[in-house]
Amino acid sequence: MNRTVAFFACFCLIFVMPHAGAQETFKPMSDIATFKEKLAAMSGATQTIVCNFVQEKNLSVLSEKVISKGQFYFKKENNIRWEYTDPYKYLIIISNNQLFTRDDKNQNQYDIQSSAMFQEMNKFISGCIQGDILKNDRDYAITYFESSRSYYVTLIPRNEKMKQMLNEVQIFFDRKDLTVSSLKMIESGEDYTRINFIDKKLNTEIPVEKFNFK
Amino acid sequence: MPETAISKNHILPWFQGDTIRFLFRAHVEFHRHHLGGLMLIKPMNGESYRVLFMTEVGIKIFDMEFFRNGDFKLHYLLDAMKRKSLLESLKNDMGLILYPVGGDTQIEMRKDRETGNVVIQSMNRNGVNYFFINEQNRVNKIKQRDGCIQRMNMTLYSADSREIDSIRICHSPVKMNIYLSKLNENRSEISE
Repeated sequence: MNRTVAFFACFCLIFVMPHAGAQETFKPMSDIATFKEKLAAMSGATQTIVCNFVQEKNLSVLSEKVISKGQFYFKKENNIRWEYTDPYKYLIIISNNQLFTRDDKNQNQYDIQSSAMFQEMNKFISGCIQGDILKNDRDYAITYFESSRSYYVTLIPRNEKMKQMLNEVQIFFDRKDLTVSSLKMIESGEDYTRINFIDKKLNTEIPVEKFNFK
Repeated sequence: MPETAISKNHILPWFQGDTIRFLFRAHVEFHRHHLGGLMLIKPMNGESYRVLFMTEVGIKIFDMEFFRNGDFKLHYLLDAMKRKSLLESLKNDMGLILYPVGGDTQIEMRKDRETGNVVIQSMNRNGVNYFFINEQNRVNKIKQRDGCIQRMNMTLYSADSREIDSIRICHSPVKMNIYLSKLNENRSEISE
């Protein structure tokens, strides 16, 4: 079961960043190639990302959302710290091919190289943060949209196992700097998780301790 | 335990009132595995309770519904969690918490020799259940026995005896423990 949990943690990390533009009118993207070029350029120039996030869990059984908050850190190559602080504490760190999780009672560490699944997920996470995920149209049916403020990409999994968990993933990019502003993971029915990334800071110094397992 | 005459209808449920939902930090230890996440209990117009478990990052693990008349509906269960023994234990435990003594359940009323409080004894297909009632007429401990073997021991903690703070469930001989600790959400952020 541990690996299952870690898998979910990895899986969700993949979709790191955005603020869905409420009331925005999107139309099919007119120049996908240019969007991809800009995204690749932004990714190449980005060494670190630090931001806060607000996660909204929407369940069809609830008229109100479950809100959680925290901080996100990314540092090339492949160092991630994903930390929930309110209303619960939960920490995920990926660094040096190790995956570390800690909550208020337990902590676990996994060797990513020891499992094909972890390797795949790590590749996926990294690809998403750095924009390479949009090259993966073998595993996802990808559709591109845009508005005056945002770019918006939908990914529909082709893989059956992935489909069991998610119907669709929506990633919103801020049009002015191509950073991910919001991520929406849609499950079966009307349930979804939206993560809004706010107060983003690019290329600031992140202490190496942030990626240490303690 | 000597018998007592207090009615089971006096028992007050933990999960009702004005609270629209109850969100817990959850830890499930099953053999040597550990699953952490969030447990949500939602009263549904007095007729049922929905119980959902999800990971911290928002992935739904299961969605169950417990009805007042004893019916049960599994709305969703993640494939990776399809272990019958685990599901049956969760179903049993949550059913006892939400509807400790069902309307048609045959019971015996007793009194705890140690505390003097009421103990309700009932039977279901999992064995004999003992519900320990506190001074405020709420269940604060449940024991489940099968013959001479104690199958489950549950303690419900509350600082003010009105709102639940945490729940600890220990199974034996199957190594399964569940810890639920209520989260204090910022009510202003719970938007309707």
